[in-house]
Amino acid sequence: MHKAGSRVVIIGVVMTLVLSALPWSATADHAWLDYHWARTASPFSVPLGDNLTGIWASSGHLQAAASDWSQSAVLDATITGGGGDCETPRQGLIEVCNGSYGNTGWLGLAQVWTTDDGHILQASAKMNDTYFSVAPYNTAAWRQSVMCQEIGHGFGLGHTDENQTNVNDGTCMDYTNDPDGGPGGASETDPNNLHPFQHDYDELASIYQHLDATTTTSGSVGATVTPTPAPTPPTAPAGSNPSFTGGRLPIAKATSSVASTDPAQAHAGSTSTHWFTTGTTPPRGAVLTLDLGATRQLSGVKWTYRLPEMDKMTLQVSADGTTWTAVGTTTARAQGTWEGAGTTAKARYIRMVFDNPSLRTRLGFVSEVQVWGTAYPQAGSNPTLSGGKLGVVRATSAVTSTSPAQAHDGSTSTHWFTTGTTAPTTARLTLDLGAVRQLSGVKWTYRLPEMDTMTLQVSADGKTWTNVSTTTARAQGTWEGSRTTARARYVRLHFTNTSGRTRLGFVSEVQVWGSPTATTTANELAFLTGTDRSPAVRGFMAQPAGPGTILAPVPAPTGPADGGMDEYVTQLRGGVKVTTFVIWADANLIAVAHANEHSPIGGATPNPRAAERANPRSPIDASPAPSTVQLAPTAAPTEAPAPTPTATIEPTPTVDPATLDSDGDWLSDGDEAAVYGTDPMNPDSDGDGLRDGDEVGTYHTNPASPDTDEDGASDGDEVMTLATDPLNPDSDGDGLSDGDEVATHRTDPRNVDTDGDTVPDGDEVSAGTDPLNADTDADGLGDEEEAATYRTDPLKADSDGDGVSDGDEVRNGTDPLVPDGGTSDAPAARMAPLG
Amino acid sequence: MQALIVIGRSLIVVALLLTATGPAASGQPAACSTPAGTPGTTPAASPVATLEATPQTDGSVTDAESLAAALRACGLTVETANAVEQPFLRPESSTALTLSGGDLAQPAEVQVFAYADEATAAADAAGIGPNGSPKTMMIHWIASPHFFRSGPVIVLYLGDDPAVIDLLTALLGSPFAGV
Repeated sequence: MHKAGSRVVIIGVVMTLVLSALPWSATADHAWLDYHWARTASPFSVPLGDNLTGIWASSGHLQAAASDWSQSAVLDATITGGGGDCETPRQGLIEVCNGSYGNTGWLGLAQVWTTDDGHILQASAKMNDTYFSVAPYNTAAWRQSVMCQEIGHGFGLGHTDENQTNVNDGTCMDYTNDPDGGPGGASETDPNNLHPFQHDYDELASIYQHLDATTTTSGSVGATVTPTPAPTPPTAPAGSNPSFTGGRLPIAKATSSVASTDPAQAHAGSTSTHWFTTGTTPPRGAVLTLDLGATRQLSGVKWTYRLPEMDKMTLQVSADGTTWTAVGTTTARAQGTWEGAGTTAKARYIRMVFDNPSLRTRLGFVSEVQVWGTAYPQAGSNPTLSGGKLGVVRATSAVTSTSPAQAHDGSTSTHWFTTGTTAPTTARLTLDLGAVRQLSGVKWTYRLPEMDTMTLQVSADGKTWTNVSTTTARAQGTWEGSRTTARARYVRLHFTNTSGRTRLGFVSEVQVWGSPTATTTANELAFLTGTDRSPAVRGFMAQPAGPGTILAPVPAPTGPADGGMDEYVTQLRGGVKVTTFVIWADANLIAVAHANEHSPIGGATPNPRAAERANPRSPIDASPAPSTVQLAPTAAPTEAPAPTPTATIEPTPTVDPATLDSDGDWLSDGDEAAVYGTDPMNPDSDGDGLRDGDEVGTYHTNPASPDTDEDGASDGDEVMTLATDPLNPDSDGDGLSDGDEVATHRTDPRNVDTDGDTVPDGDEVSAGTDPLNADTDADGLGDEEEAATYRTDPLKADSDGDGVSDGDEVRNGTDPLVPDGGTSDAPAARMAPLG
Repeated sequence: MQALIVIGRSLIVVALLLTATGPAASGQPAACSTPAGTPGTTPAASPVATLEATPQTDGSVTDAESLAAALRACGLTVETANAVEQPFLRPESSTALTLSGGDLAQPAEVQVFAYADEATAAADAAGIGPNGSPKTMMIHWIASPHFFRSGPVIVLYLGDDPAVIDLLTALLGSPFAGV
């Protein structure tokens, strides 16, 4: 079918030239020359090498693109492990990579390596983080659109249109300046360009309508193409009733894409009420979306119909409501029985997408949908955690072991593990932070992981424990961890032993991360309120509460000394006067609380146990160890006479259920919208690598600007990589901006004089000398010596041009400004100027 | 026979492309010069329109420095930025120039790739398709690409500012690729 040899080359060149003379058309076919994967049978699959890092690795864009392209009737995109690179791709697959490729002018670049016949041998798809890390490209829509397009090229597709400023075609193969469509761009109502459209699939069918004599893809050939890649297909055939692990997850909200019965009826807990579309004309399709209210670890989804009204239903999940991953597709239409599909996705949203090719008047008729899973995720590898590493006051082990302190001694050379002679069934390593802290996560590393499962748990009181994550991963010598937004004093690693190990643990180090400032809930505060004058309480300070309040860090205490009790009225909330207290022990903020006017904190009854909970080594005038200032974990009801503190004290903002924080970035949705102008659904609105809440509370940077001090280096880079001041465009004060030092001059943005020649980097750049070379002209004299001492030219090795370098002249005792060391011009130089 | 017809047609296309991509012939309006008969222009009001510079389409642009000088002669402010690497070009050196002032709608950046010789530059240019991507690459540009070549120099401008395109065309000849 394909011609071979030089003739093909000639024709290929001719075709290239002819094609090059033609304009592209949005509606014409958009095959990329004759490039295609060779295969001897259809359908076939092309593996995608997942070499992604950073936000690309965690955002699901590759999975979504793979799922999208797998809707093609002729090919399937499967995701395979990394280990490749985009410069020398592995044969038979498309390597997918991201990286900071510089200010090249391109967002994405796809490349194919082919035979003379146009058979693709290998391909790559690169995403340029130099642009995706800054506005306007630091959005999920841009990432998804470009990811989809570059992979599409890898199958042999070109662009449908290369005008970036016209109305979207509705496909990711179309150039655009508005990938999510709608308001903005060329039209207020145009479609998004995030996914392929039917014409792309038709084009693929055309490209791959023939078969080849060989196969170049390393994927399967001739096998049945599953409609979706990595996600788990339905685990139960129609009519079955699959079982899933975990429990039923509560559904916060359900919505329908078209007119319908109340979507809440699909999760009302009754199979007697139903969701179905109610329009009078056949809908093109319908989508029932369920919102769990927060991202959960799913194990599966089950549903049952009263009378299945559909031809095909695709189950999809999403963490953000924007990028969707298909779990599976089914055409089963069993009536009154449970069907289901398993998944290991972490998701907040689940939707059932109903197609309607047979033009049914109504779609759905779903009696009930159940989402199963757990509220805590699997632990991951070496997560980046915000805040700082928190001090551990004490570590304990429930069974005989090496010293538990070795798990938090800062050394990975010492280890904690059980030492009993018989195999323990469980073991627990418990870390005590000394006070309730706002956590951001926990990390750990093993010398040799001895366990079958490990569950990370946290607790505020050491009695009631909450699971953060669970893992069976037993990587050796690498860091694992889990993020959490829990407030806790105790962190516990709970190990199980189902395989008869004689020891458990072998943990090298555990790190607990979070805010170094301890806050406490209303209940906890009860021990420090009332007429309590515990010596640990040095003073009180109030600050305005409400939207925009930054609770930490706060300057040194300025309130009354010696534990005086003052009341600070701050504002009305819902008609109730609210008082905010910030309580200090020495320089350590130990409590923040709000009280309403009906029961001010100052009126509470003293707690007889408060004093003993206070640090006995912490008299007012002493300097106690901060970590030993202890707050009681919870108030004992019997010790808190009416009015009970729990009834009259409002919780702190971080736990106020009224201040929803949908994206978990430690800023409430209301504050994000009204105060900071950030995206309440994006924990890092400006894409600079810092969580919005951390920018406000910790770094004081602008969460809506990726580069607060506009020095050319992003806030995230300055905080996490460069260690420069994100609020100071010139951290070392050398006259060069931090960004210029890093990107242009390659100098140290934290060192005013990188090359140590005592001339500041900025002065060297202005003078034209090399800030990375103390002796720019290599004449043996430092740049500063030449400029300040000898008045010679630091850019000329021989300032007077007499053939002897300035350095040699200084060492020889001759004048480097008088040409006396050479031969040819020395006499002329010695001549006195004519008068 | 059909193959010969196809090859013949391709040669015509090649000839047309070579005509379009070569340096401008003599007689092309001088860069930065005022069109004859244009009334009311003064040097102070519009440097780009009034400064009479030596036409640069004679091949005098041989590197980033000479291009920058020519652009400055046309009244633009030119700043040198970082070197840029493109995976499909093999220049000896590369430079990004930031242009501002004159009739530019807003500051623009052009990438300048200087080659050791004209033949190498021409070979690299020939590998770039009309949409701004090499044959085996598909590039998602952040803005419309416009490729120019003058002797041993290839210049890439990403954007749609007519003032930039016109100026580069006057200095370097018509773009040989881009959309």
